[in-house]
Formats: sequence, structure tokens, C-alpha cells
Amino acid sequence: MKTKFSKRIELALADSQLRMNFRGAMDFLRNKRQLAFNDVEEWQALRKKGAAIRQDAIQRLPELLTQLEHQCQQNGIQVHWAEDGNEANKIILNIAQQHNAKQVIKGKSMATEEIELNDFLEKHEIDCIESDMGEYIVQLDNEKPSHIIMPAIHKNTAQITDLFEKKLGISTPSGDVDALIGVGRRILRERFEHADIGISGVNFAIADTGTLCLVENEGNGRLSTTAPPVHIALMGIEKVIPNIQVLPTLQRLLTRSATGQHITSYLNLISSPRKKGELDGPKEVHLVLLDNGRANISQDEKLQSTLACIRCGACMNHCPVYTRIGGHAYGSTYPGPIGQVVMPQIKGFKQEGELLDACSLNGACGEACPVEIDLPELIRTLRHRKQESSSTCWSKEVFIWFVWTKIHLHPWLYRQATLLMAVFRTLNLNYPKGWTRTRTMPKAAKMSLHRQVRERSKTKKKKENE
Amino acid sequence: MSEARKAIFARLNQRKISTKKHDFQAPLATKHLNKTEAKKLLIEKLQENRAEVYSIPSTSLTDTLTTIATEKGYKTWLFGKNLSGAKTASKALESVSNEISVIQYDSDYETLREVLFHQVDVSVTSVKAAIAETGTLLLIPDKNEPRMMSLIPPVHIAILKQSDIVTSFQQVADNPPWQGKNMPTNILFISSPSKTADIQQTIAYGAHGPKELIVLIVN
Ligand code: SF4
Repeated sequence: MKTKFSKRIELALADSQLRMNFRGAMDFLRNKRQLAFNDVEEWQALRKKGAAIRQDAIQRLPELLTQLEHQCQQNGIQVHWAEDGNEANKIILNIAQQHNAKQVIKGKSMATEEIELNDFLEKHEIDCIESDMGEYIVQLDNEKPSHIIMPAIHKNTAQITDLFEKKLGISTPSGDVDALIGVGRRILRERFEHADIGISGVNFAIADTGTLCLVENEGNGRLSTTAPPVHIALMGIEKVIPNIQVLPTLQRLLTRSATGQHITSYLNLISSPRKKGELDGPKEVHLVLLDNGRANISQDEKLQSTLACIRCGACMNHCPVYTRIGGHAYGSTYPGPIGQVVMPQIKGFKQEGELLDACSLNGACGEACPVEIDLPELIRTLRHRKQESSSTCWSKEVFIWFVWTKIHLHPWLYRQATLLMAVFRTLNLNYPKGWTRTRTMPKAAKMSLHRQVRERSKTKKKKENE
Repeated sequence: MSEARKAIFARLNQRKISTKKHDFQAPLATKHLNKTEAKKLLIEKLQENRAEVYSIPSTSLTDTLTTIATEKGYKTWLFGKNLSGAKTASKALESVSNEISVIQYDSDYETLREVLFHQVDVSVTSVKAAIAETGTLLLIPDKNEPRMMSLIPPVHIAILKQSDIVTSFQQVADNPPWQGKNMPTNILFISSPSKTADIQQTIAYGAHGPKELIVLIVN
């Protein structure tokens, strides 16, 4: 059973190590992004263009997907369609079983996290190992990623050193990151050499040439898609783009927003399996196109822009809530602002609606988003929808806001209310609890600001008359 | 399975499609660099990203490679078939010392796998073009220079002709060096040795791919 969201938040806030790890990481990522976008005009122009490219692609999804499918098939890539996670898992399992696969090596992919592929394959006795260093660390500790770009961001070097010692029986000098990465490299290379199947995500898929684009720094994405005899790529249907001419803009926005890099170490474009006469690369390439709620999202004009997301993670890096509670507290595949917007839409308000509460509508995410997704507006819209869809009985929140609105609409009531607050100012209400447990509630002033101003102008006038 | 496809398209086609045009055709303002500036920027960017860069005359390619072999002590070298001068270079390398051997990537990966993973110290490939703006090498692997060459060996030496340097990625995308929709199996943009910052944001090189990237710009 999942613990309640509020409980998870409480636990995360009480964990000072966790908070320090996130604070440090968020400051680091934000500063790097800032440096990469130091030219404001250029950033705005680039962002406008990126937003237009993505909106256009979402608008033309049926056309682009048809083209992508056709072109991939022309190139020899086998295309599969999955309505939900379960179907996608089954398709992948089926391919694996056809090849008698026992060992799968995976590149970083949030879509495979979304469908919980690892667990599914494990149940069918297929060993699926993560090869992205961060993902590998997280998997080793039986955890889920806490950030979509840097999965192990919640751990520091000392914690990872301990983990390697405990789980792998390999000790490394304390604080030696190179040694830790060396251990990962050695173990995972062994797997790359012998894996039966490689699985990857897709950052962008180019419709008119049938090309899968993968953006990465480590080279594990390249290994996963080149070394094993079979490559399976899983992508959400929204990741399609029309042609390669739009790729430079999106690549720039993605890598700069994600890690502040002008480009990653590798941009890997795959258009077909090994052709006749070629000496390496997988002999089979499969593309699994996953819907899992996306087509529904695209039907809703107000929420459609959710699909423009290029999964850069900037919104979480800039979110004051995420920075404090970290990715795990959300308990969802996608954490942070984009998670708050995506999860309730694909899993329903009942299961994930709570996430929408963890937002102060400060707007930082919307400003950071490289494709101009108005995340605060989406969160507001979803809050409305959630309220509408819930039972008619009044929640505490609705009641409070009802009273608040009434008071603010009637000057007489407003004056009475402020008067009452001033009179009972010494009363210790200790509300709201989450706030007052560790802080003292501020007291209302003796006199309301309105009255103070009025009194002051009165005395001023008096003086002038004298 | 086409059941799923049908259902997905049914949902997609049910949408009210707004007719709003999204214009993204206008090119972004870009600086245009002349040849010298482009080369300078390319070197700067590559070095920033931890690549070693040498600018050499075409006549001294063999000498440079043998110098690298002696200075760095690389023993097992891997060559493909695209590089002009590879034959001469191989011979010269092997004559540096009898500890040095040269392997050709001329059989399939399955046959060569062991050797690739466990023996090769360094591989030498050609480069199709380079992008100055980001310090990026464009490689298009083919049967003569397979994909693994720039990935498995711990050191990758990339040989670039000075005349193949362009300013931006956009330039490459607008005028790609491949034929229209006839896409090569794999196209690679490489900008640094393999790296990761997954452990406490500390950069470590040689995460999975090459630990070192050496670029020789030949004029
Ligand atoms: S919503 Fe925007 S900022 Fe957040 S991950 Fe997606 S593209 Fe990045």
C-alpha cells in the first residue's frame, strides 16, 4: 500500500540529508541552466520556436504518426501500437520470448518506468538491468528514480559508496566518484556484451524519415541500441516531430534546460536495423508506440499542451515544493510540476488527484519550461476539474474559500471581519496545524491597514486646517 | 494488435482540431563564422568538453599517430576502411614496436566482439563534418566504419578534414550530407568523451563509452 501523500511529504521534510541532497542538486542544475541561457533575447526566440514546433506536432498527431509508422516500416523497423502499459508490456514480452531472451539491458527511459516494465519482465523470468548510471544505482537499492533526468539525485556520494559495498561487495575509497563509475562501467559492460535484447526510450521520432533520436551523455543508450541483436524502443505517441530541420531547436532547448549543456556527448539517430553488408547493430529494431491516456489528453483543448513536454526536468528543478520534498514523496512516475499535470490525467483524480494540492501557484515552473507550457494554468484547470468531479459535499477548502469570497465581496462584512480579527487578536488559534506546529502564528494588528490609513489622513487634515 | 492502432486513431481523430497555424519556419538569428573563426570555436568547444585536439598538416598524419602511440602507450589499434592513409599509418604503427598491433574491423560484430570489448585500446575513425557552435563531430558509420568503433574502445581518435567544419547544427539539418529520405542506419553527433554526472553532480569521464576523445584536424 502506498502511504498517503501528506505522510510522505512529512517524512521527506524530516529527512535533513535528503533535503540537503536536493537543495544542492537543484541549485547546481538551476545555475547551469542560467549560464546556458544567459542571452535572454535568444532564449525567448528559441523558446517561441520550440513551443510552436511542439504545438504544431500535437495538432497534427494523426498525420505525423501515420507518416512515422509508414517510414519506419519502409526502413525495416517493426512498429507496434499499445493502448496502455499492460499492452506495451505484453508486446515487449512477446518479442523477448520469440528470441528466448533472458537478459535485457535498458537505456534510460521514463516511458518504461511509466509502464513498470522491469517488474513485469521480472515476473516472467527475464532479467532487466538498467544501464544509465543513475538508474543502475536506483535499481540496486530497489528504488524508483526521484528525478526524470538525474534519477539518483536524492543520494550523495557517501550513500552510493555504502550501497555498492553492501549490494555488490565492492568497496571504493570514500568520496571517489571515478572509482564508483568505474565499478558501474565494469559490471554493465559485461552485460552489454551478453544481453539478448536492448530496450531504450526515444527523445524525438522524426516522421518523414522514420528516425529515432536519443539524447545522452554516458553512451549506455548507444550501447543498448547497438550491441544486443534486438533493439526495442518504447515511445509515447506525443514524441513525434515532423522532420530533422526542427531537431536542432528542440535539442538545444532540451539539453540546456535539463543540464545546462549546449549539447550532450551523444546525439544518436537510428533509422533502421543492420542493413545487408553492415557489420554491427541490431538485426531487428522494434518501435512500440504507447498511448496510455495521451490521445485522451489531446482531445481536451485546455489540457492538450501537456503533450508538448520534452521531459527536460526544468520545471521540477525550479519548483519550490519539489526542491523541498524531493521526487519520491510524489510517489508517481513523473514528479514535480509536469508529474502533477500528467499523472492525474493518465491515472485519474481518484488515484493521483492529491498531487495537485502540492503547488503554491508561484509560477516558476511555467517560466522555466522551454516549450512554454503554462503549467500553473494546467494545474488550476485540473484543480477545477477535480473539484467538479468530486462529490457535491463541501470540502474544508471549498468552505473556507466560500466564506473568503463572501467577505471580500461585501465591504461591510469585510470591515466587520477585520474588526473581529483585531479584537480577538490575542486568541491563540493555532491554525493551520501543519504550519503552527513548528512556527508561531502571526498576530493580527490592533488596527486594520484601512483604518490606519483613514486615521492618519484624518490627523493630517486636522493639522492642515490648524 | 492493429486493434490498438484503430482505437488510438479513433480517439485522435475525434479531436476538434484548431486551425491555428503555428509558425516556426523563420530561422533564428545566427552568427556566421568564416573558416578561421569556425575552426577556432570548434577547438575551443571541444577542449571545453575534455577532448584533446591537434591541428596538423595532412602529410604528418602517420607521424602524429605514431607519436601518440609511443607517448600514450596504446598497444592494440582498430582501423576501419574509410580512412585514406590508414594502410600507411597501420604499417608505421606496427613498426614502432612489436608490442603494437593493428586490427581491421572487417568481420561482423559477433565474430569480433571479444576482441572489441577486451583487447582494443584505441580506434581511429573518419569524421563526416564538425559543428563549431557546439564542438560536435558528425559521424556516419557504415560497413567500412561500423558503429561500435566510436563506442567500445576506451580511446577514440577522430580524424576531421578542416574543410568539413560548419557553423551550426541547423546548417547540417538543412543541408544534410545524406540523400534526402535515404537515411543511413545510424548518424552520430559526438561532442565529448562519454561522461556522467549521476553521482552527486560530479562529472566522471568514461561512463560507458570512450574515456578519451582525440580529434586530429587535418588541413
Ligand atoms: S513541462 Fe516543460 S519544463 Fe517540465 S519537463 Fe516538460 S518541457 Fe521540461
